[in-house]
Amino acid sequence: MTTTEVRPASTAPRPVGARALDWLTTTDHKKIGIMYLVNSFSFFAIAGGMAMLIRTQLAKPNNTVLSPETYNETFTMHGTLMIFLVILPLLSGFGNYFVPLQIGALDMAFPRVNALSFWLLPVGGLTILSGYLTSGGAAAAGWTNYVPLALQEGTGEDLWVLGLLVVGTSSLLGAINFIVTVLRLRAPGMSMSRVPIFTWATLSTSVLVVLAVPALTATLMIVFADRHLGTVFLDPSHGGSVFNYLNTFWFFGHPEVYMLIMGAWGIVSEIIPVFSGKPLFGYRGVIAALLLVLALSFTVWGHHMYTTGLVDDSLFSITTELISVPTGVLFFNWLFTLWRGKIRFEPAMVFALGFVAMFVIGGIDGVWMASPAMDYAIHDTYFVVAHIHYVLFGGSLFGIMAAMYYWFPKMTGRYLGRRLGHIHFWLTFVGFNVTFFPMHFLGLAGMPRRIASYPASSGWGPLNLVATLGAYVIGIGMIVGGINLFLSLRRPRTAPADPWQGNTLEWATSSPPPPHNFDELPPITSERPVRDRRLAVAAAEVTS
Amino acid sequence: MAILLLPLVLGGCVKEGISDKATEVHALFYTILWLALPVFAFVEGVLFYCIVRFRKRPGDDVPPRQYPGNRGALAAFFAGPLAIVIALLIFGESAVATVDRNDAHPVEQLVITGFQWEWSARYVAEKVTVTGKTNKTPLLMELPVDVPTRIELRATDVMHEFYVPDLLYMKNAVPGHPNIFTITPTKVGTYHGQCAQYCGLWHSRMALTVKVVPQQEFQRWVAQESQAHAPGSGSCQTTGSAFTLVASQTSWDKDCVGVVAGVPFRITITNKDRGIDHNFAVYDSPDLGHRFYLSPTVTGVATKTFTVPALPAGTYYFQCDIHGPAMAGTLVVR
Amino acid sequence: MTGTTPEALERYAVRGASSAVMAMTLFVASEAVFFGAFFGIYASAYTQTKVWPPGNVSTPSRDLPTIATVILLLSAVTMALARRGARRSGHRDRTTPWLWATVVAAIAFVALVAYGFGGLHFGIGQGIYESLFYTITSLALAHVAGGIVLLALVLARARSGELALAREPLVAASIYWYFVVVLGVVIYLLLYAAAG
Ligand code: HEA
Ligand code: HEA
Ligand code: CUA
Ligand SMILES: [Cu+2]
Repeated sequence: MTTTEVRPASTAPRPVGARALDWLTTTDHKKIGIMYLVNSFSFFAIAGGMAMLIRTQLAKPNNTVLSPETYNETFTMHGTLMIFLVILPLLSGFGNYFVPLQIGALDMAFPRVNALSFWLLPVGGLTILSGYLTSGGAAAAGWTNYVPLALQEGTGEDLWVLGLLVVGTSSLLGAINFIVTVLRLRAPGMSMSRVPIFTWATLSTSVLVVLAVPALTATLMIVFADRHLGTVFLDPSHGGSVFNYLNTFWFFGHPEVYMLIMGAWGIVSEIIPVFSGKPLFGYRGVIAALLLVLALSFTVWGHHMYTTGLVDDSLFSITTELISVPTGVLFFNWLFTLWRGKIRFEPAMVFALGFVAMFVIGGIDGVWMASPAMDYAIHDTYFVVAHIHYVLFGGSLFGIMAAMYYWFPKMTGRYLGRRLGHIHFWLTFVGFNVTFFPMHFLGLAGMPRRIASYPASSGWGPLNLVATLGAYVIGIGMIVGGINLFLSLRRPRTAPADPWQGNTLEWATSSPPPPHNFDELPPITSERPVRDRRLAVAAAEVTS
Repeated sequence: MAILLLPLVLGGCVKEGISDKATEVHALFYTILWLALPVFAFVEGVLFYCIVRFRKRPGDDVPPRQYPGNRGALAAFFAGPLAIVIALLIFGESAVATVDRNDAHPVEQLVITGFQWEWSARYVAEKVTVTGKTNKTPLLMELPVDVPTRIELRATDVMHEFYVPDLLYMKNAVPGHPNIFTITPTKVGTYHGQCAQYCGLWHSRMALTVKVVPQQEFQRWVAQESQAHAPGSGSCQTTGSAFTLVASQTSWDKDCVGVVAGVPFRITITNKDRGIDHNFAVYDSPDLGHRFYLSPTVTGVATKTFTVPALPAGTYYFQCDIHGPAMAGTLVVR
Repeated sequence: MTGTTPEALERYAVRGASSAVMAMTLFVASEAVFFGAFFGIYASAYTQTKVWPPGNVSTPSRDLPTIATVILLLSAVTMALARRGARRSGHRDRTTPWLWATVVAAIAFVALVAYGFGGLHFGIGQGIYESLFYTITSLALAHVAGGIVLLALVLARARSGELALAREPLVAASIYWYFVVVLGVVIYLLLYAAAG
């Protein structure tokens, strides 16, 4: 008898070219999700590298590591990339991968549109960065791109505008896709009152995107038109006004910052219950809080313009302070989920707890700045820089890191190293506080943001040096995280379907899931279907 | 974390303030601190307690009680922060009302103009303008102590921000939208100020110095400044009917030029400031009473030549209208 | 244990067939915010001057735009009739003529407004009204053009008989079209009527 070696088609090693083509043409939400993550982490490495340059330049007074031109480009690109190409796409990446899984769907509602949303991202990002290749250099008007300054800029500014238009389109398409997916593709039994919080958060984020990003598009078009088409929207000598920019930009800009945090709230609301072994305290309260923040976030944009003399400060102060209330509800729900739990300190949980500890500081900073009289003293100083990083790094990014450790086994079938994970956390956590806490004092001492250098007589030197050293520690921490990722990817696939005793449907399928997502879905009768099934199976074993 | 926060509590981190309004803000900082600190302590405290107290012990596999929360707790979660927010708003709104209230009877009146990248300050009644030189000497302005001063802020090119940390106050200078505020400095001293709104290349160097001085000393200083800025006696040579001005780092290369009277003359402007606009305007005096000529703007880097109509003999004042007294000089027509 | 299989999910997902309509509704919402930004600028400029439009603008003639706007309003009616036709019989012959009528009305609208531009005596950079006028009208015209393309796609489907099976593309296109019509009316009121 002759046997011909026939490998099953599925395991045959396929040429690299074919595998690459697979990824390039895929419409599978899981592959697209992973591409989102890879793309955004690459931009993160670039933007983080820029941050290291910024800190190096500011380490001592009158430093000359970066010329003022370069410094201005660097912080502009750092902020732009972090906000538009790192945090939001990272959250969308997790959303892509896990929203369909969490609601028991086969894919997103519009898989091909989904692929398009992804591919627009690197295009937009590289367009922005390509400013470096022009003679005038990259855009250097800050991520807020204030006019009339932005009208003076060179070609780099146009590339910045075009790139952001592309990125904005990507977000908009993605958001419509998320909303339709969540509203229409939920598995039988998955009523809205059983939808996991991360999915709720992605839904809210998407609503923010649909209603706010068009304002950014309009703003960018106005800038472009004033630069090249001869319109006078922003020119006071012809009846235009700077206010037209500020108002439209911040109408987008404030909802934007909640787009950057809601996903992280969702992540933390998934992880804390799982690793405390308890249900989320006040599931419905969390959803109510999310929706309240969503609504309020459209009413507060003027708090970025207190010092311009163009808005009614006390009105915006009221709405801004009010937003602390629903945010506080989230905090109390997390804390009372921990209360009397049995907490397992896996890296994912440690990052999530780090999130709670740090985001509250950023939030409270916000309360100072929300008071106009106080803001007159600290606006545009390093106090704001401290706030930005406590909410975006201590908040959004810690949440994203937690998600990475939490969902990595699901996405790859491999655990991310536990020991290195803890080292990654502690280096980041300590470095983060050493870097950014002193910035509060720098701000109160009168150090303006976005300055390329400062004189020795200012007395800001020592705290800046501390901040710079802290930043290097963060850098080392991130490299440890990178190494952890790299090492973990070469380990064998050992992760089971449900490595953490999870609650939500993504844990009901294999790790990684098959292309069709689920071989079988458990019945959905509560917001914790996977736990229900685990208990049912255990009960069945006991009785048999 | 609590240790990191300690210096905040111990004070010495927010400035004392050198005016009544600043003292108000100083107090507001602590009001907010005392309202926020319990929130901070509560969150971090409970978190820390849970981490220590509720860790899963090895071998303990009994699941914790599955408590999903209750309405009462949720109501409390909303009510607690709301109460604090209301308190914050009461203090906050009253402080901002004080700080934003303009003195009805200011004694001194100033117009402060921001431009890339320098400030100029015009003392309206005294008809004196002082300014600095970009990247060389920052603006030095004096203010009489205990005198209510009204400041009108203007910008000629992009947005800037007048910020004196010791005043615990800043305000944007917005093109096309003058902003007015009043201050009454109460402490004699020399204070650092700086543009806080990012305004391009040399934003980091757009500094100024505010000297709060006793009133007599202020009068002396004003007198001295108005001497120094008196229209020049016309000491420079005429160069026929054409001359060149070079603008670089927001300064002209000459502060006096001379031409012959009664014939049109040509001026060549070389602007070396990349992306920055300059122009050339001729007035009767630094008070800008009458304008004889205004050239089109020259956006750097570029060189352009314009023809100025004939002027009668006399001493004139010229400036770049965008950068005012920071780019000014005397035009002698003989 | 009884669970849900992929096949069951697939069947269940057919419920998601009207996704296109929902997506279009969301898209239209975002478009409304987009134009809202320009109307916001309009409002702030309007409230800041005593005379509107500011400066000595020779305001555009209202004759052609009035006709164009009436035609646009009529196109909403024909669109509604097309929808009704599709609902009544699912037969394309009740739908296609009305769709064609809508397309013709749309083209007439674009032609009239564009022709009206010829009679304008101001440039885009003269003042805020002028800038708003050119920007908003050309953006709106672009949206009408987009609507024409959308309608053409629906017509193509109607030809191939697909419309008889699924009405979603038609309904989605109509939502977009209604938005464009409302936009046209608002623009008429703000840029032509109010500038008298
Ligand atoms: C993730 C992003 C994110 C988030 C979530 C927030 C959240 C908040 N932000 Fe922040 N903000 C930014 C990102 C973010 N911000 C950025 C990037 C800028 C700078 C933009 C630029 O470059 O200029 C900025 C700037 C900024 C300003 C302008 C400052 C200035 O330029 O002068 C202000 C002013 O009011 C402000 C306020 C707030 C407030 C009140 C909140 C609130 O949502 C915070 C609410 C949370 C809490 C308060 C903590 C938890 C609550 C409790 C435990 C309950 C009890 C608490 C109380 C009753 C106080 N932010
Ligand atoms: C999410 C947002 C985010 C994040 C994470 C960061 C991260 C950092 N930021 Fe950033 N920052 C902003 C958002 C963010 N920033 C914004 C919006 C502004 C305002 C911009 C403006 O004014 O216009 C700003 C401005 C800003 C300033 C003020 C500049 C100025 O006003 O002059 C400073 C100064 O110190 C600074 C420092 C840092 C530092 C040291 C980090 C570090 O923590 C960075 C650490 C990260 C790394 C070192 C990356 C290393 C990565 C790898 C090694 C790869 C590993 C691989 C994998 C994990 C896959 N930032
Ligand atoms: Cu002027 Cu910064
Ligand atoms: Cu905000």
